[in-house]
Amino acid sequence: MLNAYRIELRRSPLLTAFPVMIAVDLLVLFGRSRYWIGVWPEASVAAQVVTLFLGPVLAGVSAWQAGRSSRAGMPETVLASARPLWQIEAARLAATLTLGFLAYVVGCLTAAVISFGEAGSGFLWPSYLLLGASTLIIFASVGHLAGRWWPSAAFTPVVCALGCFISMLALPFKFNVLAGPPDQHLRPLPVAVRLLFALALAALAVTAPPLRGSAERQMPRRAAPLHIRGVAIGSAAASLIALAAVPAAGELRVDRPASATEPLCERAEKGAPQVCVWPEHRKYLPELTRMAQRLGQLPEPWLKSPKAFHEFGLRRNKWGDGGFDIAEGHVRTAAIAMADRVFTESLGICTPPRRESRAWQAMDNMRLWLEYRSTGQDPAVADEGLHMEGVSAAQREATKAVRMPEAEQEAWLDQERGHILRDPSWCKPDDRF
Amino acid sequence: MTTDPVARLTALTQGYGGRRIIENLDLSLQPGVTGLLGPNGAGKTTLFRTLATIAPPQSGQLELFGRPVTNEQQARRVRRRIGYLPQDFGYYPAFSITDFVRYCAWLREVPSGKADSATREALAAVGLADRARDRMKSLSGGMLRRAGIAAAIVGSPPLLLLDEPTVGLDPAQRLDFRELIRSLARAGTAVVLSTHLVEDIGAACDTVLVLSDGQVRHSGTPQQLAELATPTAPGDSPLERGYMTVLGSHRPNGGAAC
Repeated sequence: MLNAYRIELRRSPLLTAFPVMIAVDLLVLFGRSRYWIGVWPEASVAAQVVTLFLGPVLAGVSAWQAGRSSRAGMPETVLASARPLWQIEAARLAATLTLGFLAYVVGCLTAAVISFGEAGSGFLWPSYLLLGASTLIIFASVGHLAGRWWPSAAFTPVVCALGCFISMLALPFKFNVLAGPPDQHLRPLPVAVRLLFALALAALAVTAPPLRGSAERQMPRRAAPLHIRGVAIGSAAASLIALAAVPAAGELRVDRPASATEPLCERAEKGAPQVCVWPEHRKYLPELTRMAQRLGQLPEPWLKSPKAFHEFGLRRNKWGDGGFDIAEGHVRTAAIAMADRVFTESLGICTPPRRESRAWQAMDNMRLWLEYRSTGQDPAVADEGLHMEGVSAAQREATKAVRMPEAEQEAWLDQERGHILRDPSWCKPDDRF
Repeated sequence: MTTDPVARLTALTQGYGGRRIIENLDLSLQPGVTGLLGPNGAGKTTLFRTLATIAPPQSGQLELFGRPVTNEQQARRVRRRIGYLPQDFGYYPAFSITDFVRYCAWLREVPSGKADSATREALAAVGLADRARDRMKSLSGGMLRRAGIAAAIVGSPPLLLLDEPTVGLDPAQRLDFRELIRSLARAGTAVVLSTHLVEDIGAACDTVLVLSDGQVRHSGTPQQLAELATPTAPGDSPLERGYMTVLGSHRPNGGAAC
């Protein structure tokens, strides 16, 4: 089998297209985003997302390859072969998959090497890589089966490539994920079900009998041995069962328990609030500790920082999660959460009546001022590229305030606080976290 | 002297889609070179497909190498010992000649340790050793046929079925082909070949079978077929006239091979 596999490998059109596949691989990897660099789960997802683009290429080439025997007039030679048909088909599919996986592996290794410096110890998460691998197997197997049943040099490959891509995006249940925050992980069962579906489909692609009307069926032929027919029927059934089990297996990505790993905690100096993050987010820790340090050095004594800021997912309780998150690599989202935390720590949870618009405005002003203080940047720099339409009034006020001398900022803060606490009953201490 | 037949067909009936092409045929193929002559539609290709174990008999029995072939498992076992060149011989255009022949060796389960040397030998036998790396799509019709013959003989199968192997070969290549067939037969290979070129039969075959309407109308040596010729039979050689005589005696208006 190895010999035919080698020949198929050498003569695969994917070999010619390999540089293009690598280019697509790297283009998707680096073109989509860069924040994954240095974060193992995000890097794993970035490498896995590539399969959404490599997959259609594989489906098309696989369909082309599988139909080649019929198009080249080989069925009679194949039927006269001592080799069982499944071995011939398996060598062909294996060659297609090998080149597809090779391109995938290049992407994965690139993601790993690029990430290693910032991410530190660890590696790409196998669950995400397996998910990507199942996507590739599914695409290649569907293409192979379609190519065998409807051999065509262009129509079937194109329909397969486009059809697979569209159905992957349109299906109500997902075969891929687009983000991999460290506070979430993939559940083994849904991944296993998807992998099982992929493998069953691959088995079906190589053992399925030729379709009625195909070149192999034009001439009388002996029926495949009973055990091969059994495998074909079994893999068809397994494919259907696994597909039905995909939605039944539940959510693919779920919250990762805090107990799964030891958080990484650090404080900039004694007395400054501590910052705890998932170890996979180590690259953000220096910046976050500086932000926490700034929030620990606020001018007014009534502005209190918590002892520690925890990243989202590390301190979940029945009320939810008061942690900060880092959305798509932006620590500004962490600043928002940290500012809110300082606010509630200092004033409690405030819910003035709706008509008290000045109090609400003061709350927005103070929160944004805290954000600016935590970033340590001028608002013009800190807000660059952000959509601030909903808080433009607060942006104006907080910007003006943060640029004032320290004493004037204190006066401004007292004034805003006065608006918020005009009726002390509007604010209640936060005892959720 | 009698030897064990390589293939034996007993009361074989064969056809496609309700149409009977061969009916109640009894045939025994001996070692050596057997030529199959017959007009188009006589059942030659159907007979080849039956011998190659592709098409199971509708009724009757097929025995190869002394064993009945009744199911796919038995068929697979004997296919390792059969080299088959179909009339409509397909190939993968992007393959090199070596890859193609090597691939066919794999299809026939030639042991992988011997496949490379068997491929080289087969290519040398058909005179394509110096073109081994050429792509199949770059070959002329005659060269393609030679590559097909190489694919059929790779691994030296004891039974060689060649359905119109000389189509597209130029006269010199046909002479080489005849010599190749004779040398294979001398080495113990049983060769069955069909052709419309009667002179190939005369030059290369030990036995000639004339097939018409799914029945063997004559079985004997080429010399015996030539001796059947009537003075009025059309043809340019005694063998051609003998062939036309046999066909004529079974068809009201005679029959032409080409």
